[in-house]
Amino acid sequence: MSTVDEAQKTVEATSSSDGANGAGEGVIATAGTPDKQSRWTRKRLLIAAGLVGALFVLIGAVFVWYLITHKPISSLPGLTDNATPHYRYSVYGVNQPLGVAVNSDGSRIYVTQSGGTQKALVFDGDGKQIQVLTPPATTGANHLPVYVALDPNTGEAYVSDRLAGAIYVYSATGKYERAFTHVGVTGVWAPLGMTFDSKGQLYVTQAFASTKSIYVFSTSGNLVRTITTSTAMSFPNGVAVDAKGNIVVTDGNNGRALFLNAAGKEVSQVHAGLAKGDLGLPRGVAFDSEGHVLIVDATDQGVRVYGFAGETVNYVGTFGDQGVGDGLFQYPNGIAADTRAHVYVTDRVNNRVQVWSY
Amino acid sequence: MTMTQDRQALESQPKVSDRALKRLVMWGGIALVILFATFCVIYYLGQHKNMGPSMVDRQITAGEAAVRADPNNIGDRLSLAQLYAASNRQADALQQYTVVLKALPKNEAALFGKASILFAQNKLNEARDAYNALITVAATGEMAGADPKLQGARYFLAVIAYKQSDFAGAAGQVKEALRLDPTDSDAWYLTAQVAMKQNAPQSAAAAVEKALMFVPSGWCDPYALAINAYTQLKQASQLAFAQARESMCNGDVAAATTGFQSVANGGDKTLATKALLQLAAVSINAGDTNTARGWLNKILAIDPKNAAAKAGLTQLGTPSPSATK
Repeated sequence: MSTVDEAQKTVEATSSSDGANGAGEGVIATAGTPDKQSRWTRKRLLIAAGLVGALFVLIGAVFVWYLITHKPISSLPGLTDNATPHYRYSVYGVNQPLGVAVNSDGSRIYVTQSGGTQKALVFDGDGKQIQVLTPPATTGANHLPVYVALDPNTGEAYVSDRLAGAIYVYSATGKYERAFTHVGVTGVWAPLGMTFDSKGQLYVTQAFASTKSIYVFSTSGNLVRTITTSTAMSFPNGVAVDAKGNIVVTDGNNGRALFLNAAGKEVSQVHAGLAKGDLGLPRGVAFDSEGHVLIVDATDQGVRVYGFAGETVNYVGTFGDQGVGDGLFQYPNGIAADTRAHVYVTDRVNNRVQVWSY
Repeated sequence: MTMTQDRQALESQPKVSDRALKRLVMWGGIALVILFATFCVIYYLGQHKNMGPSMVDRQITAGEAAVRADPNNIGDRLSLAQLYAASNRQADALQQYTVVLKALPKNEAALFGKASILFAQNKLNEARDAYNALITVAATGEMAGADPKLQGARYFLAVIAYKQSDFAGAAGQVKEALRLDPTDSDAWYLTAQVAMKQNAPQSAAAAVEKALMFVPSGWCDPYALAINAYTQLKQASQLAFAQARESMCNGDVAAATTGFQSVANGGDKTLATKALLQLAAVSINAGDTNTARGWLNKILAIDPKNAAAKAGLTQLGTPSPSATK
């Protein structure tokens, strides 16, 4: 059909309208020279159609983005660059929690508790306790679970135990599997902070007053790399690795955090001090889904947020303060992040795990 | 009409009729609403978590259960009253304090709690009576010389007197409060406020400096009062220093820096030292440790024994001149 034929058909269709469409509609077709009113009507209709189309695309895009990421709208791309998370809710039912880990969708929250019976607990995404992780009696009577790391490939939970000087491995369903057997580390083995990188390699720090080593193990327990810091660390409680292999380690008793690039070279530090972004007693550390580094400052009763992509470190802000109400901490310790822009912080003295999000 | 004109006329006519366009807008709008509603429902279901009551509410529930289990337990009732007060449930708190006071009319915690609630409700005369009742009970007690409730009662009686324009009464009560706790910055600030009302700017300036000594940052009101006092006293250098500190407190670092530099270059060596210390703090906050060291070394040039400058240099990693000897 030619263009002329199509136009003629349009003219006929418009001419045969029942007249209920308002003044001037048919005039466009029959007269061929639309009057001012009909032009205005058409203009309004086109604007409305454009507006509806634009909103449809916008809401549709946000909808698709949400279905893919499951993140809150406040974490839409670009909105979190200089933002810090805000308080959402808390998970209760844990006694003096220390470490926390969470799977990617936030449906399994692992928490170590140092009060009462010292053990690791597993909560579902709704805050209901679903499992208890305890090593068998054959591993001895004295245990103090401290930090948890989740193997991204198998879902296994690795729990470091200060008193036993061991890492216990539990299956994705919470069943005890084994004590982690390391090969290649000489001297005393005192695992403390742990994390997995995207390849499934386990990074472990040592609970010493003077240590320069961060060990990296394969899943089979072989030591594949030792990252050496330029100065000695004292009880480095946390270590985190981003998708590119950049590393942050919290040097607890020295009140600082070391920032290393993927090659293991120290590129920056954040020290103890009183200036903005300085640290007091840094403990847990994590990279969140927005690319920020989050460091728990136990004595400042909050969490410091930094930007770090392997080169410079920039301070973004702090969230949290001292107290017992929602969003307030009393000696927070561990931190973890899921892929849905949620951040989990153990609030030790308040006996809860606080969940924050962007 | 030529063929070209015919074609132009047809091409100028719309390919979609108004009717179709209207229909498109209508159905598009309906689809948009459905899309938006669906998104809202899915978003709410995905993001909303019902984790039950907050920690304070849980404690209140436990406290209420304890009182129900043993209504005659004064300790449980006091705890519950304090929890109510903490969660701003003033009427419930007052009710519990009243019950406790019926059983134990001299209970200091209940008297203080009741008075605090009445004060918060702006029932100043009733609050004054309750604070005075507490003073009657506590003034002769073993811990009367360092009783924080007694000190608090004196302070709030001073606040009530000040609000009721009884400045002489306020001065007497706040003096008693400071006798019990000389480090109470709020009491020093109130002293300064009362002194200003009594046309005693010299006393006000001295009191406000005491208040600021205990809370040197993040509290801007005292600086405004200091500015008023030094303006009345016509002390230009003190006024400039107070203005710079107020700018600093309000986050106007540029104005504060200019002000501190002006004071540092002035003739008053004591003030110059204080201004240099503030400039060092500004530099440290900006991450400029070299400039900070420069300011601290200037202080040592004026006052070689200045402990704050020495401590600052040590913290910045440069031993002070005396320390290297």
